[in-house]
Amino acid sequence: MIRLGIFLLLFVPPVCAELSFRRQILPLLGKACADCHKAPTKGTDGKVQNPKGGFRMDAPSHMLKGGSDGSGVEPGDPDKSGIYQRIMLPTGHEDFMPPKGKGTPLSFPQTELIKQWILEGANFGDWIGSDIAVAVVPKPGAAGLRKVDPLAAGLTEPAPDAMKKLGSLGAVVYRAGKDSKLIIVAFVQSTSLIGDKEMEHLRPLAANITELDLSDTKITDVGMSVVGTMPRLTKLNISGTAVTDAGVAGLKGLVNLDCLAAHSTGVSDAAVETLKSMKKLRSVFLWKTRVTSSSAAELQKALPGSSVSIE
Amino acid sequence: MNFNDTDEFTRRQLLCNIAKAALGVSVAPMFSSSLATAADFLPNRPKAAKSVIFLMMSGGMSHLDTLDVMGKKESVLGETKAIETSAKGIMLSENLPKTAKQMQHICLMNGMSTTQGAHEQGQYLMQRSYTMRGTIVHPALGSWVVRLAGKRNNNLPGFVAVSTDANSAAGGFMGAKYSGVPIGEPGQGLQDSMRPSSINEGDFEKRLKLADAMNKQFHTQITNPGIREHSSLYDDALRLMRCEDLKAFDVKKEPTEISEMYGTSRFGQGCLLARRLVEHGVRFVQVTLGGWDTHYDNFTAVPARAKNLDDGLSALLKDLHRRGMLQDTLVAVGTEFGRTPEIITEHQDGRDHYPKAFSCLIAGGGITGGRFYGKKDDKGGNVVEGMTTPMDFNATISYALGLDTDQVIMSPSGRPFTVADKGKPVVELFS
Repeated sequence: MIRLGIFLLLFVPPVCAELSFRRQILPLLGKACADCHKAPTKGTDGKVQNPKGGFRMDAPSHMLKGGSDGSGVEPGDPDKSGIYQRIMLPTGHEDFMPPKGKGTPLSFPQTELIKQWILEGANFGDWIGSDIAVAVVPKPGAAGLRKVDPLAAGLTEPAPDAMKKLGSLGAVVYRAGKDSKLIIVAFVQSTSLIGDKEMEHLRPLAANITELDLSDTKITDVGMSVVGTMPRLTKLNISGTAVTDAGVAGLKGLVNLDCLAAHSTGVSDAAVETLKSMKKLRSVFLWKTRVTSSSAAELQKALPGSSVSIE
Repeated sequence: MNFNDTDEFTRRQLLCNIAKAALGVSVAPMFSSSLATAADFLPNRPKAAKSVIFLMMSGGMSHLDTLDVMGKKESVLGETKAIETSAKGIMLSENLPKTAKQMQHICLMNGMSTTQGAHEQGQYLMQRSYTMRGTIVHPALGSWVVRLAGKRNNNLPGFVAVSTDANSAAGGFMGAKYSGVPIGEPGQGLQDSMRPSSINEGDFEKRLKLADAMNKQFHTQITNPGIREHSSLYDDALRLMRCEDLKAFDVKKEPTEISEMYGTSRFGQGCLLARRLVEHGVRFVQVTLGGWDTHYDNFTAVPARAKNLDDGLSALLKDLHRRGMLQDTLVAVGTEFGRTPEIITEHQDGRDHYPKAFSCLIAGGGITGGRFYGKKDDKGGNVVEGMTTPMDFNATISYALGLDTDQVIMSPSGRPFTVADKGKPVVELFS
């Protein structure tokens, strides 16, 4: 075991400074890959030789774009980067690079260097290769879907300790989007153990919480006062709790609330009066409450474009 | 058998059954808090759906007698009539009268087309997004979802397969950890998950301690990951046994009027169970309804099947909606292929397999309902607009969940795979 440790230590790449692409990475790629993965060229026999797998490595844009089989370099993520995946395959594998007879396989320290470089964000430094004004085509899919949520403006990172604490209470806690500072909190596990006391643990995250699921917990109007301090809350589920009109009254200041699920609760027409003033509300669920149909219809009228369902 | 062994046998059998029943409850050592799994799930799209209920119509559902009757010739519809729905301008078959009333939540996928014309291969492609190979078993969509999105409730399995053939819910190369936990009879809940009444809590505890003591030496001597996974499977099963969330599996806890709304059929009760499970944080529930292979006597067989679908689906949509859960829960109805526009009179008016054009539907999960996507010609035999494949269908479900459809997962043999192969999500559904 100790010997293995020393063995690994020897091969940990130097991590003191960011890697230089031109000095440390390019020579490796040049040796192992450049011959087959370059711009189409005319051979001596007059035939055009296209880059293998449609993948060119003669410029940053081509490497980021990938080839016909998908990703080339995915900054920050070696496991999603085709070049790293392929150099790490078993040597006998059909997708292993460089293929048999086409170059020397990279050694472990060398592949670690490439991994490190990708992890650091695949910085190409001043190297532009053959790149002359070739646009990087963003891939459809994940990257293209990310939206910047204006709600998060001015927010600080959610406190990790507070998130961990909620996790230990059985809550699911996650970010509302990749790299978002907004978080979603849902108590879905052993909900009968969650009551007003546990609501206090939401306070340090009150600014960050944008969705909150408290359904079937033991909270009452007392615990709802914490919910009233969440300015970015867009979605709240208090279904199946003992919350009444008094608890809903405390939500009045939640100007961003878009969806409120409160079926099977003690709320009645008095709560509807509170909700009428919350102009961003679009969906309200009040099945199995004491809210009357006429009152629900009034609410729907007071909030244009909303859907209020009591059945 | 020696009577002295009775005890031993009971303990082993009990644990073995628990393990079997709870297969799919995470077996890898995990962090004790749910934060760890949840943190892995970073949806790329705000307001992503949280769970999926996939209703699989096994056998090849006849699109012309169910979802795609709009503008079709009488000669291909046969005895089936079209009816109005709650969505203006959208028609459904008279075989789905209750579903028609929930049409405001539904988008019909009328441009579906597949390359597979045999049941096993067609279902495989629909549920796994890859064509069947001899060398590998691809994971089911539910396995992908749990792998990429993580669990919501750590006490419960992430993927449950109700009335579904265990093979079609298999985790494939992702292993048993990601397979759907099979529930045969929805009314019976999770089998063997209770401590037998003949053994009290104290005795049970004692026996477990004894087993631990006996196993300890073995575990220190042999550190095979498979063995470690197995013993952690026991831990998970035990946690599940003692946890209040187990009640999610008990449909008998539902009030009579709700239970009746879903219909008494196995499929209807399966839909009810699906709702309960999703409510308790299960990510992916598949409920299968078989018997759609109507080569013979199509116009008697389809209405009978459709009644089960109609009761279960309409109740599910209505119930999820009024609980405020439908925007978080994507409900999909899928099938392996459609059936021929030609009505085969020699087979008492039957319809044969038809992979070229068929229909599925998606409801909830953030889509805009009351619409259809894709169109066939007036015979229902060719897709003329908005063609979608099973891969596109599954990519759309993945998109609804905010999953990264480009994320590559390597098989143990080092081959790259993605959740919906190269399917393109129909993002228009979400606008």
